[in-house]
Amino acid sequence: MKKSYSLDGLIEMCGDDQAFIEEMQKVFVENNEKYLDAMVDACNKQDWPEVKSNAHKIKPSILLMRINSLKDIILDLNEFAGKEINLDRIPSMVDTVKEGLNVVFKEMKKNS
Amino acid sequence: MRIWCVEDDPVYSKFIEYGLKLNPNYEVYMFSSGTDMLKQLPGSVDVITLDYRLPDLKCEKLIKEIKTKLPDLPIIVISAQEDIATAVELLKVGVYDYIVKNEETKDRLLNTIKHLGENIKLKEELRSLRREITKRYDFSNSIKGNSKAMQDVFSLLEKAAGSNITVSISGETGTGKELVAKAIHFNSNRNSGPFVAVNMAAIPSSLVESELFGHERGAFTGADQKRIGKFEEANGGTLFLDEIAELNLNLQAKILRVLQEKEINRIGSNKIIKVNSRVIIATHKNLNEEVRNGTFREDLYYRVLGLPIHLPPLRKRGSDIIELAKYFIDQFCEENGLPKKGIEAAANPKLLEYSWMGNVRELKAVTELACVMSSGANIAADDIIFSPTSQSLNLFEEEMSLKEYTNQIVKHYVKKNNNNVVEAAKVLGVGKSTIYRLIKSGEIKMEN
Repeated sequence: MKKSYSLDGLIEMCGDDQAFIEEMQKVFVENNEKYLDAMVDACNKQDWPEVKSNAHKIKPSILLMRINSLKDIILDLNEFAGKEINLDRIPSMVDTVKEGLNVVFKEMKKNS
Repeated sequence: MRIWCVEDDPVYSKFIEYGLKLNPNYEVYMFSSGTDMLKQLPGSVDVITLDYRLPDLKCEKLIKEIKTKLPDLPIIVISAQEDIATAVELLKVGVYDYIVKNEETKDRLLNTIKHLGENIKLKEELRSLRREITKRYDFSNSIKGNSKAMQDVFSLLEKAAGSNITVSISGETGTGKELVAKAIHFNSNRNSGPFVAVNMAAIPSSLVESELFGHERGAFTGADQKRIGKFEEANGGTLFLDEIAELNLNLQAKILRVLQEKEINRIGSNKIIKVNSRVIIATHKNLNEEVRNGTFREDLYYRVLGLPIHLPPLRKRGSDIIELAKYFIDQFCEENGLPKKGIEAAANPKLLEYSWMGNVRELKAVTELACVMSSGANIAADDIIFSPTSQSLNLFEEEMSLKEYTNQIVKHYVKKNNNNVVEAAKVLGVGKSTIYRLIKSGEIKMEN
């Protein structure tokens, strides 16, 4: 089954350094679980600046791990929450990011 | 190269650290907060990368703090923020580069740091060359001489280097006017700026104006591109105008304006350009006399006179001649991989009694030839060969009594005829006893 993320960017840099790749996946999961929980929580409270802050933290990791299915949505989420526009769309976007990332976390935990 | 990275996101922190450490020439230190990094400043660091959003300090404040302690330190901001306005604002406050966190972050960061490394290396080379040049033009290294005449010159050089006053250097050709101008520049507080020398006598009069002030494209036939002039080129440094007396009166008026207003117009342009260049002028002519003759503007004369430094002719520098000869011999032997050579005692009078019409430049040429001609460990009198043109006597270089003129002429012809008094007497149309009498009375000293 095709993975929901790609390590090509990391492999291109580190070659066959498995220890580094495993470490990166571990750190990715640890941190982004934290940011994701905080973002979901903020969304439930309609605390848009906090949603923006956490989306902003998650965004680079999504790009780094080439999670292409979430790339556009995290960019939009970051923008909408930051500008406080399209607020009605934010909860469903947060859900999509949550579902997508949970799949990634699961796959990463299995691989590391 | 020492790189400090401030990154609070553990994923990116590991990623950046790993990527940079792949280059064995990079020493990488990671900080998870701006405060931790600031505690280490000013440390041994060549570049700092900053995450734009740090939990403890605003990026702009952090940049300000760094710039206060290390104003020239390059800072690279790495940010998840794709906002162009933020990037522009940061670049305005002196950030070296702004890199967005995306798939290309690693390549862009490595590229930027590679370029920075090359810049740092070039700057270090430039600093080292500047140090080398400053050392080379240190007064005691570049200008030799212990004679009273030169000690007076040294004292004036110190004064010239310690201020920005215009300096006028006079002296016969070959006395080292440009060397003195360079020494003043490289010992002054302008030594990090350029030293630009222009010899007025070497430029056709029709081109002097364009050479000095520059021109715009199409300003005259043949001006197919814009060119900056020497005044602009010397901005922040020193402009050496050699043989200034060769300028025509029209150009003298234009130079006077630049010196007074500190601004120029390129030919073909009305735009005023401010210039800040110190001017040192030189001439082998007597400017005062040129003013009297009407060939040099009086107002310009007073403007450029500034601190006058007269370089004495070599023939009036006594034992400096031997010191300089030894210096040139050592220099020539070293440059040409020859064993060190000395000067035989018997050769000294030959050097000391010669007229040196070409001054230090001639002495350098004569000693270099002597090094080549000499086959022993020391240079003998016979190895010292003067060029035929130099043996012509310039009687009117200085004022003398009739008796002194006569003695000079007789001495010259005796020397020219290899100390053969009979031959010299024949040429001069006098009896040989006349010459013997002058020698006996000590009025003419014969060379060995």
